[in-house]
This record gives sequence, structure tokens and C-alpha cells, in this order.
Amino acid sequence: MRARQSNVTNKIQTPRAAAGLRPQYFADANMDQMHAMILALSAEVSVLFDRFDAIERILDTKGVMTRADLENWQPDDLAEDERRAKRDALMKRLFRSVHDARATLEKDDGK
Amino acid sequence: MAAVKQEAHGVLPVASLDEAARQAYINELGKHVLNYITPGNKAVYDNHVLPSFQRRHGRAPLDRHEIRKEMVRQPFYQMTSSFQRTIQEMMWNAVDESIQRQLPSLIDTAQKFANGKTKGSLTLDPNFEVPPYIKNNHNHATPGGYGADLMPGDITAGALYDRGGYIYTQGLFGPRMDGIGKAAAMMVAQSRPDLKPKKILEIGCTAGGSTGGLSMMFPDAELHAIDVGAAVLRYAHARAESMHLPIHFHQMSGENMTFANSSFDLVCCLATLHETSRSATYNIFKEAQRVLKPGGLFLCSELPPYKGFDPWGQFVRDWDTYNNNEPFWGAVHDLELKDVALEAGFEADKYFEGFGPGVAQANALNAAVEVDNKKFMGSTRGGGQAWYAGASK
Repeated sequence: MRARQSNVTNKIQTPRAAAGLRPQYFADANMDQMHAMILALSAEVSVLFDRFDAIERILDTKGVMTRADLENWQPDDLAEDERRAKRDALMKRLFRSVHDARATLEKDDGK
Repeated sequence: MAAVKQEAHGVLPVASLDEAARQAYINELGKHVLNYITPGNKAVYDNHVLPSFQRRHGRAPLDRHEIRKEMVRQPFYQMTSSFQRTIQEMMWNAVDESIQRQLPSLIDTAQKFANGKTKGSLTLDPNFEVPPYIKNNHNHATPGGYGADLMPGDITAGALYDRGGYIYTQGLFGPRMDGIGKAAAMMVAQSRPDLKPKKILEIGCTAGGSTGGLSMMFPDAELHAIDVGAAVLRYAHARAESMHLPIHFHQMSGENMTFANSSFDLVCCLATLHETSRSATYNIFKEAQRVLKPGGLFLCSELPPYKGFDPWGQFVRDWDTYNNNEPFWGAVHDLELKDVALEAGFEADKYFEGFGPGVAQANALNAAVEVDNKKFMGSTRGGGQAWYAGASK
């Protein structure tokens, strides 16, 4: 997941990492990972709250559905696929620093 | 105080519902940590680190380096630094993700502005080599840094700096990101009231925010701006054209410019030196001296030198050196720019340095805009006064 420089027009994979020295703050490197994951998770929770909030306000204004409609709703295959892609994107953000750590480990061949 | 909204222009990335929510939250998260958690380090120092140091050494720490050695072992400082670094990474990633989603259309739009009826111009150098201090270290932990060029027509680095920089500075540079340029123009008027520049150069323009400020303050001057990254320049040019600002952008290093001797009345290098290197700083001063007309002015704005702060103040301001991919940050603030100017051929009695108009004064030019001038990231950079070094030829 290092920053890439290329001339191909395919999609740039995100998240990208910055070149340069990334400090380790804690004696146990996993504590650094834990920090990164918790903060990323808090962002996703907040994003979710905001989206729910927007939906509820719009529905309330327009009077289009009841809470029971929401409880009884089932995703179809397309909706499930879209949800899976979203979960995947969430996990990429969640494990961003872990993927960085793995890439660094794999780059260091011990020589 | 409610956050200032960044003013939309032709190529500013548009965030989706979730992207906007993510960016807003990360911005609030950063402010919360800086305003309510990070300041706790002062108590860690005063109540624990300093007394313990005095017991062991019979004196207080002499400089920021001695304080740093102690503080990096403190769990609270480890935590706040980890928070700040992680939030910085999250912020860039959140903006980058939004840019990459709409990159083809952003490139399209940028090309339409660049190929339409233009007031300025863009000159790229296909053989240009991005300097190692930009290529190998991505300043302020921005993925790709200033020099990345990801694909033909790429504008990512510019968009990332424009939008991410706005969030990163929490709107400090004003709704058009032009506060640094406007403040510099005010400093020119204050330090050289006789100078009415007809031809101006900005070294290190990035997305063209500060250049836009210069353009607005010197509307009749011919304005040129250089940077090392093709993608930042494509973005800067499209951005300027969308705002109807006549600016000529060139891909060039400030260390080695192709402009003729004695070309400009005013050369500016704004908040840029700390992103280069020691030898680059000497070379930029030499080149600025060369391209200036006799009687012209070279004006740099930088964060104030450390010499005016006590060891704790220096330590707080030096966070970026170790935590934000700013390896030259501490060194440039210890550097005597007067010596650099003299070495470049400027005369001692035509050199000045000190505080001058900052982004707060510049933002006051925008009617009805309130900007939160609190500190951001690790340092108390503040929005009060800016620090300048200037030399007339």
C-alpha cells in the first residue's frame, strides 16, 4: 500500500501512505496499531450516525415511512453486494496501519 | 466558533455524504485532541518531568532536545503524539479517497479550464527530476507529497493539498486558502512602501492558494509561480483559471530556475523553506538574488526561529520534525537566514527579519469571515503574526 507513481490510468488504490519516517510511539507496536484502529473506527461510527440522522430527518419531513417498515426490510442480492463492498472499504480504512506494517515487513528482507 | 467553509472553485473535489461526514469528524477529532488532550503535556512536564530532571541533573533542561528525550518516554505524550499522527494520516486518507473516486472527472474539468480561454499559462518540463527531499519524504505525511504524478493529467497532489490543507489548517488560511499570499503582500507594503512590483515570482506555489492572494493584492502585476510537481501545477493552473486569476505556472526548482537575471521586482517564498533542505535553502536564496532586478525584494515567510522561545516552547513547536515527516523543520528554525542571504550576495543593511502581518490580518480583508486562529497540529503556530525574512537587492 505504498504510494505508487505510475503512468497507468487504472484506479489508484487507497488508502495511500506517505514516504518518510513514521514514529513508533509505544514500547509495544501493537498499541500503535490499536490507536489507529480505534480512531478509524470512531470516524466510521460518526459517519454512520450522520447518515442515519440525514435519513431520519428526510423521512420524517416527507412522511414516507414508519419505523416498522425499517424493521421489516430485507436486502435483495444487489443491495447485499453493495453492502459487502462498503464493508470492504470500511475494513481497508480500519486496517490501514496494519496493512502499512505488513508492507514494511515484506519489504524488509532481513539483508 | 463554527468552521469557515472553503470557497468552492472549478476544480475543488466534491465530497459525497459519507466523505463529507468523515472529513468533518476527523477535523473535529483533531481539534478536540489539540485543544483538550494535548495541552495536558504541559502538566506532565511541569509536575513530573521537570522536577525529576532537576533532581537528577541539578538544573533544568537546556534545550528542546533534552526535553524531548524525557517526554517521549511519558505515556501521556506517547498517546497524544500517536493521536495527532494518526488523525493526520486519517485526514489525508479521507480526502485522498474522495479525490480518487472522482479523479477522471476532476482531470477532465482541469483540462477544460486549462484548454479553454485562459488568462494565465502552464509550462511543464517532461524531463524534470523531482528533488530528493520532496520525492523521498512526503511532507506533513501527505501521501505522494508535492511531487507525485500518478497518471496522465493527474491533479491529485494539488487537490489533496487544497482540500486536505484546508482541513489540516482548520481554515486558518481563509476560505480561498490565500491568506499567506495576502499577508505577504501586506508585508511588502509595510517593509518597502516604495516598491510597486510589475513582475512577481512565487517559489513553491503548490496548489496556488498563496499565489491567488498575491494576484488579488497585485492585480496589475505579471505573476509567475513555480513548483516541482506536475500534478500540483496542473491543479493550481486550472484552479486559477476557474477563479479568473492570470497566473503563469512553471515546473521548475527554486534551486535552479530558467528565468533570466534581473527579471522580477518581487520574489516570494512563502512557508516553503521548511519543506526543502539546508543546501536547497542556500540555493534558493542565490537564485532569488540572481533573478531579482536591482531594487527588487526577496521575501520569505516562515515560522518564527526558535531563538525567541524557551526550551519548552521550542519543544512544542518542534513536534513536526519528528512526527509529521518534516525532517528540515527544526533545522531551518535554527538557521540564521541572514547568513544565508549574505552568502547569496545580498547586503547586510538591506536584510530584515521579524514579525509582520499574518493570516489573521489577511483574513480580516474578507468581510464577514471569521477564522478560528487557534493552534493546529502539534505546534502553536497560531494565526496572529507571521515571521518574515526579507532582502532587497
